[in-house]
Parts: sequence; C-alpha cells; structure tokens
Amino acid sequence: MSVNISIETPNENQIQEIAFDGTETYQPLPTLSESLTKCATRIDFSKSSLDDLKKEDKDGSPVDQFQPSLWPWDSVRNKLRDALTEVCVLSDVLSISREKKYLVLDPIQQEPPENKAMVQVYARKKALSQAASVLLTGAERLKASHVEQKNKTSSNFHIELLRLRQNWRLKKVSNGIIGDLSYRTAGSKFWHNGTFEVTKSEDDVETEEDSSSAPSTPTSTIPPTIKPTSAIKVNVPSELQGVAYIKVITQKDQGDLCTAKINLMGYGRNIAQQSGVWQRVLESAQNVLFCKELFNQLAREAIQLQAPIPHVVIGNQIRANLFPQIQLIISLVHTTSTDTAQTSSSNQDNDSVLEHSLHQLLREVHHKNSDHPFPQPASGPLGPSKKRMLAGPLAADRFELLEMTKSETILEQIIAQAQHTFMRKRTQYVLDTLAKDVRDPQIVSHWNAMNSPTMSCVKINIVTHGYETMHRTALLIHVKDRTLKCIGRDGRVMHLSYEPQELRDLILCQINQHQITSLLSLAKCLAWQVLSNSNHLGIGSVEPLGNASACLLSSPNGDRMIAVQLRSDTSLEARVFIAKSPRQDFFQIPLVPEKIWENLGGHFREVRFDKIEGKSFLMKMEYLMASLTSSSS
Amino acid sequence: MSGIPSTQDLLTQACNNKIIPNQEYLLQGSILDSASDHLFQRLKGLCDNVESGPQLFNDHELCLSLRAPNQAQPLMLRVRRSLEVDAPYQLRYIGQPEFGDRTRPTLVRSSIDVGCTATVIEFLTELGCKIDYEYFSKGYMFRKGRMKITMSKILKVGKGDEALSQSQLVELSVLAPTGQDAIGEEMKAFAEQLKPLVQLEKIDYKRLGSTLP
Amino acid sequence: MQREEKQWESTLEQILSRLNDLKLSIMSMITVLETQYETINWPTFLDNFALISSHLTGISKILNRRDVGGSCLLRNRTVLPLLLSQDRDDQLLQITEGRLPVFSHDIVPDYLRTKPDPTAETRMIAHEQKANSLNNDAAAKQVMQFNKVVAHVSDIISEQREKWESESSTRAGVQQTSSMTDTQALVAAVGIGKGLLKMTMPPMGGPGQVMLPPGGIRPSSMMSSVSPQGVGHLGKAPSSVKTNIKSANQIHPFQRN
Repeated sequence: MSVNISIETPNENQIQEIAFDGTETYQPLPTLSESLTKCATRIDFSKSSLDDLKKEDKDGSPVDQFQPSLWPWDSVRNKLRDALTEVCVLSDVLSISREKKYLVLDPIQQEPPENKAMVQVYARKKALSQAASVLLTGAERLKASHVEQKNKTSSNFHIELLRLRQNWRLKKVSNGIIGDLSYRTAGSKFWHNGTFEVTKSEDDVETEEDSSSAPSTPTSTIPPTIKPTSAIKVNVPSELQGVAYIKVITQKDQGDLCTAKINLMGYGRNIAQQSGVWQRVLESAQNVLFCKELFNQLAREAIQLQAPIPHVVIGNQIRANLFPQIQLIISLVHTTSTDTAQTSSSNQDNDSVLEHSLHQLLREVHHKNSDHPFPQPASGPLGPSKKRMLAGPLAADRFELLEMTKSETILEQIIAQAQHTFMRKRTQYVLDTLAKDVRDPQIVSHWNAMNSPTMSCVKINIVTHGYETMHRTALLIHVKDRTLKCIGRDGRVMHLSYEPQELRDLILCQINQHQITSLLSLAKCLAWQVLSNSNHLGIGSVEPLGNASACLLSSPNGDRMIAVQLRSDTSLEARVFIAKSPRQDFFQIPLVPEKIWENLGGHFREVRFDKIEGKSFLMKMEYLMASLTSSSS
Repeated sequence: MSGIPSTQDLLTQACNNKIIPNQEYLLQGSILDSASDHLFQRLKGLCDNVESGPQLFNDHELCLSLRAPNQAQPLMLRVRRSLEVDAPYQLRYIGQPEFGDRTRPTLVRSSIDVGCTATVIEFLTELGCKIDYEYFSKGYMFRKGRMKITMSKILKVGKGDEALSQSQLVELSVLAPTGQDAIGEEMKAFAEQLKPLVQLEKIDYKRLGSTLP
Repeated sequence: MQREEKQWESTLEQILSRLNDLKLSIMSMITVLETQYETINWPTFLDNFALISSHLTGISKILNRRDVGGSCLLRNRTVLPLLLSQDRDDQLLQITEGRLPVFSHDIVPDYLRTKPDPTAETRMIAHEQKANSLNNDAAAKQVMQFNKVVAHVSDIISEQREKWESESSTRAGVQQTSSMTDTQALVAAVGIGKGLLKMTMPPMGGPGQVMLPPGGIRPSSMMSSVSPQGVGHLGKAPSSVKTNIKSANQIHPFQRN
C-alpha cells in the first residue's frame, strides 16, 4: 500500500503546544534581540566580574569547583590564562605610560632591526609544520572514520537514519528527531499525533542498562530480546506499544459463529528484512494506532447511531445486534507483551474477508478526507464533489441534494457486511441440508464467484437424475444483508426475510412444482394425456405449508387414468392412484342403463408407490405409465 | 406556507451562520516561463499528492459588465468554462478586494459562484451585459489542505492565442466563510515556502490603475 | 611635534581599545570553558578562538603600521620609568583595573618584562644557533627555496579556494525567477482587463464617462488612471505612477538580481 506523501518543510522551531487533534503549535523563531537576551541570561556575571578574575590571577591556583580529572580543558585554560596575563600587563603598562606619572614611552632612534632571515625561515618552517601536522591528523581521522563507515554500514547511525527516512516520516524539531506514525497525511483525522522519537542508541553495555531500567519509565525502549545491533533507537509512546488487533465475533446466544481479526502485521515483510529492528517496532506501533483509530471511530458511531436495538459500548467492546439473538461483537485487543499476542493470534483463524473490509472501510474514510476533486473550471471552489457541482446546472431537486449528503458510517457498513456474511452462511446451510435431505430431485446450487461485500448470488437448479433434459427448475437467489430476493424462472420475484424456514419452504414448494411439471412433460413424451393439473389442490388434508399439487393423466387410448397427489412438506410424499376403464365391475342398473358408461372409469385405487421399482419419482412414474400402457391393447 | 421557510430566509440564515464560503483569501504573484518548471516541481513536492497527479486545466474566461443608468460602478460578472473537460459553466461575482492594513496577510474579497449551463452568456447578454474582455487561462492547479494553488499562462483570445507576458500567473487562494481570518496566516506560511522562486503578495488593485470606468 | 604627539596619542588609544577587546574575549573564553565545559560545542569553541585571533591580527596590524611616522611605532619607543613608590595609588589601581595597587621596585622589573619569556627565548636561541651554523650563501639559497615552496603551496591553495568559491556562488546565485512588472501586468489583465480590452468597444453613452482608447499592453510607466469622473483627473496620473513604483519597492525590498 503506497500512499503519496507530500514533503513537509523541516521545522526547526520548538513545539510550544500539541493540541488534542495533533496540531502542533510552534514557537516563532527568536528574533535577534531575543536570542541576545537568551545568551545574556546564560552569562554568570558574578563569575566573570573583575574581582573574581583578579583573585584568580593572584592565586594562580585552579578553582576548586572543577575536578581536574573530569576536566579536559585544563591545559587550554592555563594557556589562555597565561595569554591573558601577558595581555593585561601590556595594556597596564601602556595605560600607566599614558598617565606619564610612573612611566613614559620615549621615542628613540633605533637602528633597523637586524634581518635574520634564516632564523625566520626556521621559525616559519616550524610553525608551518605544526599547522600541517594539525591538518594531517585531522585528515587522517576523517579518512579513518570514512573507512570505518564503509566497513560496518549496519551499525552506522546516519545510514540507518537514511533508511528510516526512506520508510517513515521524520522531521527535525530543535535538537531531536521526531517521527510520525500517523495516517494523517493519508487523510486520517484521529486525535493521536502518533509521534515517535529517534535517538542514537548507545553502546551495547549502556543499552542493556537502559532496557533494564526502562519498564519503569513511561516511554520504554524496545525489549532487549529483539535488540541486535542497531544504531538507531526508536521510542514509541507507551500507548502505542505492543500488539493490537480488532476481533470481530458473530455470536449466537453464547456460541461463537465466526471470528475475524484485524491485524495489519505481516504487511511489508520484505522491508523489515532489509532494515533494522525499528521497522518492526514502528510497524506494530502503527498497527496499534490504526486499530485504535478504527475502534475509536466504531465506538463513536455506535453511540451516535439510532438503532432500533441500541448498540452497546463497554470498555473495549462494541455489541451490535445483527438478527434476533445474533450479535456482532467488535473488540479491541491490545497486549503489550509480545509473546501472548503471538500465541493468541496463531490459534484463531482469520476471516480474511471481514478483516480486509474493516481495514478497507477506514481506508476509504481516509481517502474521502484527503481526496477532493479539482474544480473545473479552475476558479471553482475546492471541496464539493463533481455531482454537487452539476446539481445547479442540472436543476437537482431537494431530494437529490439530500441524497448526496447521506453517507453510511463504518459501523453500519460493517454490520451490513456481517449480516450478509451471516445470511450467506445461513443460506448455504439451508441449501446444503436440503440437498442432503432431499435425494429426489437433486438440488444443485451454483454460487457466483463475483460478489460484493453485501450482496451475493446463488443459482439453484432442481433436476431429476436421468431426466435432466426433461425439465429443469431454475431459481436465482440474491442474498443481501437482511433479506433474500428470489427470482423464479417465470420472472416471479419473492422477497424473503432472514428466517431460514422461509427459504426452506420456498425450495420445498419449488421441488413440489418441479416434480409435477416434469411429470407432465414426461407424460407428454409417453403420449399420455394430461387431463388436469393443479399446483394448489384445495382438497385433502391441510398441509403445513401451501397446498398439495396434483395432476390427472390418462393413457394414450384413454383406458387408464393416473392421479398423482404430491404433498409439499418435508417428506415430499407422493400418492398415486390409478383407475381403469372400462371398469371391470360395471353392472347395468336402472339408473345407468347404457353399456357406454362403463368407459367412465372406475374407482381410483391407490398404488403402493414406495413398492414400485425406480430410484426417483419420475422413474417410478415412467415405470407405472409404461406398465399401464403396455397392458392395454 | 407555515412550515417551510422561504428560500430567501434560508439564504439569509445561512449567511448569518457563516456557513457559506463567500470570502476569497488571495495572494498573487508570477513566475517567469524559464523558471516555471522549477516552481512546478516544487509545488508538486509541497502540495497534497493526488492520485491523478497535478491537474491540468484550460479555461476560457469572459468578463461581462452591466451598467445600470443611475449607477457609476458597473456590475462585473465573470463566466468561465473549461475547454478540457465537459463541466458546467461557472458564473462568478467578485467583490471589491479589501486590502486591509499591513497586518492582514492576504487580500480578501467576496466571491460568489454558481454553476450554470452554456446558455448563461446568452442570458446575460439579453439582460444587457456587455463582454468587456476575455482570455484563456491554461496551466496547473494544486491543492494543499484547503488552499488552492494555480499557475497559469494567460493567453489573449484570437490572434493565435498570443501570450500576455513572459510569465505565468501564480495564485494562492482559499474560499472560506466570513470571519475565518486564521487561514491567512496559513497561506502566508505556504507562500514563504515558495520564496524566492515566486513572491506571492497581496496586490492592490487600486494601485494598478483602474482602466475600466 | 604637536601633531606627532597627537598621532601617538591616538595610536595608543587604538592599541588600548584593541587590547581591551582581546582581553574581554579571552576572559569570556575562559569563563565559557569553566562554566559550560560540558555543553560547549565545537563551532562556538572555534568561533571564540577565531575572535581572539582576529583581535590579535588587528593589534599586530596597528603595531606594524608604517604610514604614521616612525615615532608612532611602539617599537621605536623605549620604556622609561620615572618614579617608584611604595605608596598605594588609587588612580593606578583604577587604571590597571585593580591589578596593580603600588608601583614599587619589586613589581616593576617583572611588570616591564625586561626579559623575554623563557620558553620563547630558548626557542629563539635554538633557531639562531641553527642559523649561525650556515654560511651566508647556503642561507640565501634556503631562503629562496623556502619562499618558492611557500608561494607555490599558497598558489595551489588560493586557486582551489577560488574554484570552490565560484562553485558555491554559482550554486547559490539566484537567477531572477519572477518579475514584478509581469505580476502587475498579469494581475491587472485578469482583474481589470488591462491589455485585454476589446479593440473595438461600442461607445456606451454614460454621463461623464470616458472610453479608453484601444489599448494593447501599455508600458508600465503609462499606467495612467482614468477615473470615471472624467478628464479633469488626468492631472493626477503622475502621482499614481509614483505610488505605484513606491509600492513595488516597498513590497520588494530584498529582491535579488
């Protein structure tokens, strides 16, 4: 993830105040007179007064406030003191001579000084060689340090700093280096300023001492265990230390249904390898910052949102109701000790989808904050969206304008996504169990690979094995966040709620219809005649859902009739009756005298359908029809 | 009628609440063509990076004036359209700039703009407006927070689009509601960062000599 | 003689003031060393040294000045003690900033530095002995050689310095990147249409209104202000030009060229 970051001017000013939103107020640079005053306050006038100096002059002994062993400047000071004495004497003599009381300076004619060229040469040679040796030793030291730098680049402060600078925002504030972890340049408006301090780490011995004493201080250093040689030490504020992640749990009553966890750790691994320890420290700190911002945002929204069942925010946990009895729990987990965090993260599997979408949602908010379209023409105001700009010329009405101002909060979106995830799982479950329970006909569901976080699509085909060409009932289900939309083959649209029973019932009805419809087409193939069919048989025992469907078929020559009744409950029980004409037991009675009436058909007798050979309903029916057809001449 | 306040009322209310950005804070300067690339690179680094990169623009601006018989000062209106993209025309009124005293960091002038369709010029001419002058403005715009920075070449219309001078006009502006004078300091600080490449200053229009009656 | 005396006085004055500066800077250096030796950083340390050395150079310049007659050279003067006294002299104390209360016989020889500093003297003697061991010809040769080498090295160094200086000056050298007149012209054009006005303007009859002559870009010196009130105000035009120039100067006090 690379975000373009604009350059900031290095700020050499002292920070005067950091506001809660992270804005830094700087002290203005001191004016000349201010710096003078500052310098002047540093001068200890009592010390530099002439009395003291005189005393020191007379004593000639070092002042006891310095411990000579600690004081490397002794020789320098003595030389300076000597020089001062000489200068004082010269100035005194001249002053006294000006008074002409004790001394006078009398002009005399002096012979021109003897020109001792060789003496001068020697003196100058010596002076030059001294100067040269100073320069040479300086150059030697520079060279040595340069070579050293080349040899051990890894532990070089400046090289490390350069690497740090390539990956993180740093700025120099007076004498320190302050880094910035925050996502502010990417559009975040989180109050935490997310700064860290960069210092030069001391030698190994000292750093160990440091880290052992560190836990007591508010900004503790990196634990010593992960501290190989690095010339840079980063001090992260204590509230950003450790490992944080956001855990999302969907809970039914008390049992967890699914868990998701946000943890940005693991991104940018390759950078971490080439750069120092600080990379890992800073990455995890930034991750903590991100999680905190995300949770903060969610918590704020949870309180502001007017949900029918109010969202609950307790401590580091937000509870929101997805469906009755089903809750979404978002919690911020922040552990400062690295070991426990690692074990806990390893035993939970991530739902990468929810993890990703929460991350994405906040990122989107950031993007919206930072990215405003440019106006066209250029004199227009910055800020309003393109749509807003068009609103005037296109005469948008109040409703459209209001629509533009609407936006969904992160919480709403994540709830919708969680609901959708839940709905999708539920739908899957219902379809799968039905497919398992109902062997005949077969239910085949195709889930679309492409879907959005709040909408997915499943296509259901109901076919009978071996009779696929005969008839296929297709059904499309749009799974949304709280509802299902089912589109039948005939274009009928049905909206279902989140209750799984509704979907189950719908599928059962569809199966029922499928059986009848495919029976009809099978009958056509066998040249049987459909006398009647009804999807909603109004007679018979009351069904738990809908009505049974039924059809009446007659054999090609009309001497046999089959009546089928299909119940639409889970058992999908089929009852089949047959009748034969001419009826065998036709007796002429005075009421029905004619012989022709014997063709009217007789009583229907129920077939013991389960005893008929065949794997499926259609196969049995085919068998039945075939046997009935063949018996007639 | 009882529940719905009139548009006039709503507008006055909005104005009083200071939520309408109708004040333009402005600093102006220019950069020689030879150094414009230098400035371009500096602005690219300093300003907020937008994924699409620096935004090019090519606009045509018409300045119209309406003279009422009993008014000495004509009413000035500007119509601007983009030649690059299909965007609505912009009708803009710019008030008299307030120069203020030395302590005020920027020029402040009232600015009201509204998007409109292409027929706006016809409409204005029907109203009695007369086109005073027109020009093309072609260049780049940048954004830093709520500041907008444009650097543009001003071209005369016709005659093969002759450039007005060997420099590009650089403008730093913010549109804000009344009373947000703090933005001026922010702008001043940003202008400081462009020195000595370009001197962004408040330029007193009165001293330029008003050529228009 | 009078004039020479005066000159001498002023020279002495100069030397004394220089000496005073030098004294102060050495003293401040010592104070810094003693009080801030923990926090002092190299640049300020070296700056202090540079200050001292510049004072020294100044003094030696005055001491070696040849332009003001021989009698004004300190080396052409001899110190002539006039009076020794055991009594405490407040004036003396004041003159010497409290260092010398009495001008007595046991102080004076030391104070007058009648002998050179022993370390310096031994060094001098060593050099002189070495010099005396050479004959004149060889010495002259060596001097010449020395001068040649030194001149050569100094040439090399100064050449390099020139090169670096020119390099840094070209880098820092700012070409003009913006022009005030262009800014004015552009702002005027965009703001009030200067130089953009239509070639043919339909005359609009307004009482007391004067239409402008067709104008292209006029030179900035001709920035006359034609006010709507009429020609009567044309007399004010020069003043407006003046303010204009002034304003440009005001806004641009530090423009580099």
